[in-house]
Amino acid sequence: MDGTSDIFRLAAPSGSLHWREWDDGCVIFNRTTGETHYLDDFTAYLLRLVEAAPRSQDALTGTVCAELGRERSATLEAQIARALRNFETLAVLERAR
Amino acid sequence: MDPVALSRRLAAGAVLSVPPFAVRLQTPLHVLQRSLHMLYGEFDLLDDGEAPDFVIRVSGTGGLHRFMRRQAMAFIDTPPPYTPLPERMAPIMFEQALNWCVATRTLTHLILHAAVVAKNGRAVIVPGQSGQGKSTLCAALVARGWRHVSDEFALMDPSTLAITAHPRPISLKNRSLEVVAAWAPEMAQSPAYEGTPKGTIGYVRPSRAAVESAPEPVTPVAVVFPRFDPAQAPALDAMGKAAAFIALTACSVNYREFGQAGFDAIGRLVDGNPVLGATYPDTGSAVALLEQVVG
Repeated sequence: MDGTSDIFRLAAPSGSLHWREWDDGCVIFNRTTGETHYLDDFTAYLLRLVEAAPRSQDALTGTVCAELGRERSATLEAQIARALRNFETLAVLERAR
Repeated sequence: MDPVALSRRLAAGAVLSVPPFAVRLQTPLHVLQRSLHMLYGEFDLLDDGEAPDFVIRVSGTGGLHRFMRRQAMAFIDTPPPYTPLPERMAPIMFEQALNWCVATRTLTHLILHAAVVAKNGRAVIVPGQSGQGKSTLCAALVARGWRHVSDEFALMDPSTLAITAHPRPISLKNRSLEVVAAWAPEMAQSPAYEGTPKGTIGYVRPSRAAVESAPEPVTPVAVVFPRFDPAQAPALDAMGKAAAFIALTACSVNYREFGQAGFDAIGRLVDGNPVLGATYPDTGSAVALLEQVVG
C-alpha cells in the first residue's frame, strides 16, 4: 500500500475551519487547535475539495486534473501528497480509519 | 508636582495614571525618580488608595553590587523577567517592566506591536518589531502636529477595532535619537542611555495634549508598514491582504489568546482598511507619505 488510496477527511468537526480569502492567498483558523495557517491558492483549493467531501489522494489528483485541466504527473502527485502530509501534521486533515 | 514631593511619594509607592492603566510604582532610586519627573511630568498621580492594574518596584540589587557597578532590578509580583541593568539605566528597566505588564496582562485588548498616530481623527497603525522605525516615525509625526496615540502598542478592541490610546515616552534607539533631535529640536528628550543591550536608548517626553486626549479612542483608517531604505525613492505600495494578515498576527503579542475573535478582528482590520508598505529614504519623505495616507 502506498497510501494513495487512504481517505482524507477533516480532522476537526464540521464548522471548525474559518476562512478568509484574498487575491494573494488565504488564511484559515482552526478552532479545534487554535492555530492560524496561511495557504496559497492551490493548497486552499485542495483543502476546499476535501472539506466538501472526504477523498483519497488518488481521487483528489483525478479531480484536480479534471477541474483544472492539468496532466497527471509525478510532480503534481508529489505536490498533492506534500500538501496532504502538511495538513495531517497541522491536524487539519486526518486519514479515515 | 515638584521633584522633591514626587521623589518622596515614589519612594513610598505612588500610583501613576498611564492611560488606560493605573501603575503603582515604588522606587528609592533617584535616577528613576528624576527620569519620571521629566518623562511623566504631564501624567497624573492618582490617590494612593487607587487600585492599580500593575505593581512595579524598581530598586537596587543587593550583595557586592551595592558597592560597585550598582544595578537596578524591576520586580513585578512574580520573579522579574529581565536581567538587571546598571542602576543608571533604571528608567529603561521601568519602561521594560511596564511593557512586559501591558503585553502579558492585558486581557481586554488585542495588542499589536505598533505605533498609532492620528491626524484630524484619522488614525494610522504603524506596526513593526523593535528597530524597524515605527517609533522614529511616530516622533516625527507627533512633532508635526499628529496625535500621539501610542508608540509601542496598539490596544485594539477585537469587536469594534477601536484603539485605546496608550501614550508613553517614545523610545528611540541609536541613530534615531539624532534623527529626531535634528527633525524636532523642540521635543524634550531624556538623557541618552549608552551601553544597553540594544545600544543607546533615549525617550521623548509625551505632551500634555497626548495625555489629555488619551480617553478618546481612535478608529484606524489605514495600516502602514514602515521601511527605511536610504537607497530607495519614497513609495507607498499596497500589500497583499493575506500577507498583511500574517504580518499583523506576527506583530501581535496576544493574538493566540483571543482565538477566533482575534482571527476575525485582524481579518476585519485588513478587509476594511488599506494596508500599505511605506518605503522612505529620510524622515521628511516618511512624513509626507503618511500625510498622503490620511489625505
